Amino acid sequence: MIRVKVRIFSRAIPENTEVGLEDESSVEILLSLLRDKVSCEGAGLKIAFLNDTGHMVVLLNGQSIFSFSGWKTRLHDGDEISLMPMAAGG
Amino acid sequence: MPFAIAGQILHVDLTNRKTWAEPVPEESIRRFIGSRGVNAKILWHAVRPGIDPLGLENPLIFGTGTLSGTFAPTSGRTTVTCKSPTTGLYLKTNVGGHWGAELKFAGFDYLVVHGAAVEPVYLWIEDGKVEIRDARHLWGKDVRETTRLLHEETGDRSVQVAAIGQGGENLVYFAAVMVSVYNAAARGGAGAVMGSKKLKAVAVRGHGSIRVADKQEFYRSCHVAIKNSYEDATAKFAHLYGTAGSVPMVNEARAFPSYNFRRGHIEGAEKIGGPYLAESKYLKRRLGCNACIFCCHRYCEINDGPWAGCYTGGPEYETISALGTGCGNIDLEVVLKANELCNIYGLDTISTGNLIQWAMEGYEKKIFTEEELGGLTLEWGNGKAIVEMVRMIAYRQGLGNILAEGVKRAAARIGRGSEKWAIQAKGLEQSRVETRAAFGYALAFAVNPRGPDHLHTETIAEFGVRPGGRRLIKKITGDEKYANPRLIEKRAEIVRWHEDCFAATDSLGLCAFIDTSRFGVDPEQMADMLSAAIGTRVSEEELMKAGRRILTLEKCFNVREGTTRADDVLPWRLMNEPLESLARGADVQRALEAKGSENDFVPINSPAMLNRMLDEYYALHDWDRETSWPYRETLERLGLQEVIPELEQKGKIPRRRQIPE
Repeated sequence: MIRVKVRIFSRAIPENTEVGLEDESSVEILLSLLRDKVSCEGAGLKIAFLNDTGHMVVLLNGQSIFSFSGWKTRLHDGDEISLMPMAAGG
Repeated sequence: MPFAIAGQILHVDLTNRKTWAEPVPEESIRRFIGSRGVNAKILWHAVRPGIDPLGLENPLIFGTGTLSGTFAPTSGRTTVTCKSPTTGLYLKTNVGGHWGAELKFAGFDYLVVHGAAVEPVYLWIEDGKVEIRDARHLWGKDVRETTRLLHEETGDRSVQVAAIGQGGENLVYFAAVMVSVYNAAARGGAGAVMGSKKLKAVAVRGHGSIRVADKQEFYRSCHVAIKNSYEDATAKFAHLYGTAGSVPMVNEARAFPSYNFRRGHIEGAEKIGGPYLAESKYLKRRLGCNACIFCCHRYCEINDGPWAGCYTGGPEYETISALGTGCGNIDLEVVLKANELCNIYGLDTISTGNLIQWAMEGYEKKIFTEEELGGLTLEWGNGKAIVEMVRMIAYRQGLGNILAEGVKRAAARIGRGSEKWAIQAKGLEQSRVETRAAFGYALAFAVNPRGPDHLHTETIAEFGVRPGGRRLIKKITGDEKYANPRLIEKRAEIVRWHEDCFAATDSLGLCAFIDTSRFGVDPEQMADMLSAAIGTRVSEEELMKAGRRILTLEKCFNVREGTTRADDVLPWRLMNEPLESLARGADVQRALEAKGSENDFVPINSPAMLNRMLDEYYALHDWDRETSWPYRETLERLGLQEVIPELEQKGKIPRRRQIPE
């Protein structure tokens, strides 16, 4: 069993949560777990955000998951994952 | 009448109160595309090396895009070009709003201002005619008030105004030229050049139009660009959250410049980011430049509290870091108020924030005398002090008079070790990108002719967070794995492609956000739009080569002014101090000694790392490694023969070195 910290930016102020996962779980698995949790609580904005993976930035310990293995990246105990809208520009 | 352009360069000599026009040479468009490119050619020929940027010999050149004034998406950008007061080097600064299109409708593509007036003047340009008018009644007024008065005077609220505020009038080295009130040609002090000419404003009204050669093909190619842009993953968030939308991501990455680049993260920074702003009571409108399809600009108001009555365009991502987290401040109202003052006084927010941070760090380190402080208390996060400092800089009061010189000069004047926390290179304050965590940006910042900022390349693709960006990195390097900002490999290739594309984009008059920040439009599509507009086929390759020609000419300007490889550096802090927030366990000493393995990420822009990237970059450009100067054959291949005689006469054409046996 591993525990990871997740910050979900479906609203401007992120929701901080801790999630327990099986060893070797991927980012993909984490996301589907988060979706399952939300559908029980029925928050529309959040479920829309978590489904919109095409417009989502996912950072793992501050780096894009695509610096690793994308959605298949394996998570480890203590990892920090941030989920944000895909904003741009500077 | 030619296609796509109005066809005229307007010259105004303020010393002799003369105006004249000349046709835009067709070969200028063919070789340099327009706007930034043609401006660079004009500047090369108009300026002798070593002139005083605030003197009579520095021209101020406004150049519209060849696609400006049409409905090519995001074609509302204009370039202002001159020699920079803050660096003494080449300056191009780009701006949106609606002024450029209006100038084309008035019959001119370029405005070149020579000399200086004795008393304040403004230019009134309407439908092919220009007048030099008295502006003594406008001098001392801010940009917003000046615009309002010019609308009253001309009786027409459709008049587009480019103006300076108190910042430019008082020759603040980072004064901006403001356009359509809240749009800034911000970096490098073009506003001070305008102020040195006693030119308060340029007011334009045009009732003409622009025609394109092949209407059907132009319509088709523009709609392909629009459709592709909207399909890019970031398009909707550009509109919803603006560039401010990047704040949470960069903060989560622990790479959000805070406390004068000492830290990369502030707890709660999302409270001054784009999504928070969008949900707040402050954001009233989303605005766009001429022909924009994203409308990423913000307009905000504060209607209660200590800053009630504030109303302003912005804030952008850069401003949020410069006047917010950079100063240790996450009070959004302070950022809005300070932004408003920068806008109406006409100051670059990036540099203004940089100077305030430098002063705050100096205050923390107790380097200022009581007399220098004049009663100011500059603790990190002091919102009142941030706002007050903007005023003091604009009016050159007290410590503001030292800060108004730019951070390199301010640190040279004060000394006491403060050069180490002056975040500048070439004399320009760095923009809010943490280059110790993004090595493509690091290289781009080091080689940018105007100084270390992102508006030379905008290599956002290297972060690998977006599918369009990863596809682009694969196109440039052959493998998506190089979409990783912590790698040194392939940064030179990535920077070079972006340089060419960015120069072409600027010169067409298109926004950088159409193809380097978003990925819907590529150079092939831009070439299609240009071809249909001007009635001559331009290939993607020719367009990118023109981009390369433009930035090489810009490089040559600096070479002529005396730069060498030694000028392609980054600020001292970033080259010598690791970024704390990412430095856990990193082997900084080995990185500084170039003993770190290629695969070890160390959050520092060490000389060894930078030199390796520079070697690769100069080799790709076919410039001399030791001096950074372009070889004769390189200039000839790019069709830049016109610069060779002068560079040769000055001994600035390098010989190819013999490779030892």
